[in-house]
Amino acid sequence: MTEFEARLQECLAALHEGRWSIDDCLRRYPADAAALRPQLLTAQALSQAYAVAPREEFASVARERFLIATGQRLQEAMDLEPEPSFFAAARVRFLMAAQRAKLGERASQRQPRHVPLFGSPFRALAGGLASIAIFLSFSTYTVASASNSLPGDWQYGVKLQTERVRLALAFDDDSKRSIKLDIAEERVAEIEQLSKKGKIIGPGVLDRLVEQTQPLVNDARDGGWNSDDIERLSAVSAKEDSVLTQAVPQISIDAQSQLDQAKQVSRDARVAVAEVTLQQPDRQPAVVTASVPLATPTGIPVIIELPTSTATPGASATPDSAGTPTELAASPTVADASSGVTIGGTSVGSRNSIKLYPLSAGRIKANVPGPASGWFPIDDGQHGAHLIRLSNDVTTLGHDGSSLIVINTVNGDMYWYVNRGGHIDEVQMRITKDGGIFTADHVVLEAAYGDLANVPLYIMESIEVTPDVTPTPEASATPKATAAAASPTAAP
Amino acid sequence: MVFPSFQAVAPDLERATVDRARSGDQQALADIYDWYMPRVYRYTVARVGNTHEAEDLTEEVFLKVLGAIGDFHWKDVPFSSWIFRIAHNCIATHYRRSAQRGGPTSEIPEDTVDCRHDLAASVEERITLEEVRQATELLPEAQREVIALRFAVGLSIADTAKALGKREGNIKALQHKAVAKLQRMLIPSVNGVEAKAKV
Repeated sequence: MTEFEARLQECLAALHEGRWSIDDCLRRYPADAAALRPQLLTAQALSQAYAVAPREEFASVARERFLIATGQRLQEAMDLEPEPSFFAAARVRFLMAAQRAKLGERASQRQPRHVPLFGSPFRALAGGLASIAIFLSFSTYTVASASNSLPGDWQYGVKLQTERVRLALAFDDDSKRSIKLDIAEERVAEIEQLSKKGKIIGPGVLDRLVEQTQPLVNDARDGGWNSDDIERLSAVSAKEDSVLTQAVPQISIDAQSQLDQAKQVSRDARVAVAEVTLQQPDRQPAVVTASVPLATPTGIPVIIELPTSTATPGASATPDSAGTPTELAASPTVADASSGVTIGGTSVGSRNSIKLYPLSAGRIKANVPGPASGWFPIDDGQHGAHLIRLSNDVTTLGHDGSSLIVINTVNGDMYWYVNRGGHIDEVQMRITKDGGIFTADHVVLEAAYGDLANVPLYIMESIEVTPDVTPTPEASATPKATAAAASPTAAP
Repeated sequence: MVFPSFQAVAPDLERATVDRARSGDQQALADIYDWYMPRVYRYTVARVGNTHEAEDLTEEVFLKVLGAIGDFHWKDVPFSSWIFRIAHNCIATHYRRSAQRGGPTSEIPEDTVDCRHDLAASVEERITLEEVRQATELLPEAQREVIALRFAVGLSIADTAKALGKREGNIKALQHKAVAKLQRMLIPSVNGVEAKAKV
């Protein structure tokens, strides 16, 4: 290569990379400028001439055809057991029809060489519409029969393929996220259906659930989700948790590791939802469910003000600066004969520097913070019984970090109301429903509230309910109503 | 800026996407399509000069990419070179089929090319695709390939070499000869100074 050629190459590379202009090249090599200039201008002219973009109609139709082809290829790669001859024949018919349409279109519209460079925009559009019509007529049948299919059904591959095409055709992130949530909901619903039908659930089914949920968890943590999508992910994860629990007997032996993974991802989703939701500065008050739909508390609730680990105006029991408990080792036992509540005595342990004492209230026993500042019964005028609080100052809920616990004395249901950043969240800690006990998730609550969650979690775990010898009373108040009853406005 | 400019894809992202596509991830395949389709289209337009055929060939290229991506290995060539190697083969097949059908050849008599421009007289005048196509069809096949990949697609010398399976020095020489010839055909006079093409 001559010296001139080397300089020309250097200039062309710099032009391509946008580092120099043609004038820059000529100034750099003035001796060769006369020879360089026409060649650089030629290169520029070539690039200008070639700067053509595909027609919009062609671009969109071709993209769709490509995506359909990817679906076809993925379908071929899928290990469907068994692969019915019907599907193979239908696919062949579809491909042949598409090919005939394409060939026919070419034959009828092939132009001689002198056609204008930018021919009729209707050509590709017409061809594209023909292909789409064929695809849609095919997919109308298959999708209709596949949409309700379950893993193991012969149409299930078509269902997965349809989902992929739908996802690939989505152009913006919001649409893709919404479709991914749809698909995750579908995976959970499939497991629920398989479980109800008593079918064995293999590793592939759980793998697909994990593959669908994990990217959503990662995406949610990256931020940018709207509140509706966060709520949907929350619902999906709660549903996953409950469905997986119910499906355990049907999980095949070789799918146990996948089950563990699915449970972990489901939990990760709940943690992600809690993290994202509770860290939003302009968020609405949250309701954190204990794995089940809201259960209506029954009977007479016991309301306990929970001392916080941070100094709070009006709070009566807080740790000192050294973090040592401010409660005495022994606390006077207080009792209210009208409500059957006793609390205090010897401490049974401490959490977050807060001593815990035995509580006996109706049918329940639990370990709760002691009555350092005294307590007295109040009548809320609704339940015909006494509510109990441990402090004269229930307005502590107005301070960040303060919290209030409501315990149902009949069935042990427990709700925690916590002021976090000015929002009072309702956390369903322990709920009895249909003979089962559902509890809040430690990992989720610790992720959301940090150390603040430790004491309520400990109380929740310590609750014991004596067997019911009489029918449980009908529901008398919702958790929100109970919270309202505990609020300053409800207090006498 | 008139030189090819396409949305840059970070190498790490491209690698991760290609790896996902190789395992059948449809979204990854869609991303690859979106990134490369405009470039493949330009390449096919530059090679065949006919947008109708370019559209068909562009689709054909991506169907071949779809069929072959599972066999792609990073150790051989960059992904862009691999795609344009497929495009190169598609166009070679297209010309072969066209010749078998007795269709028009790409050769155009030199006396039919009337696309000379004097940029000194009209620097804003843009040379059309048709003029460039007619001029490039007078070039040997190897030079036309290099011109299309370098100036329509914007591949580097190194990637062009890998796409065509040639050495970089060979690509530089082919490009130099092609540009010099095209300059004589398209813009023989600049500012009244006859270009000193060194062919």
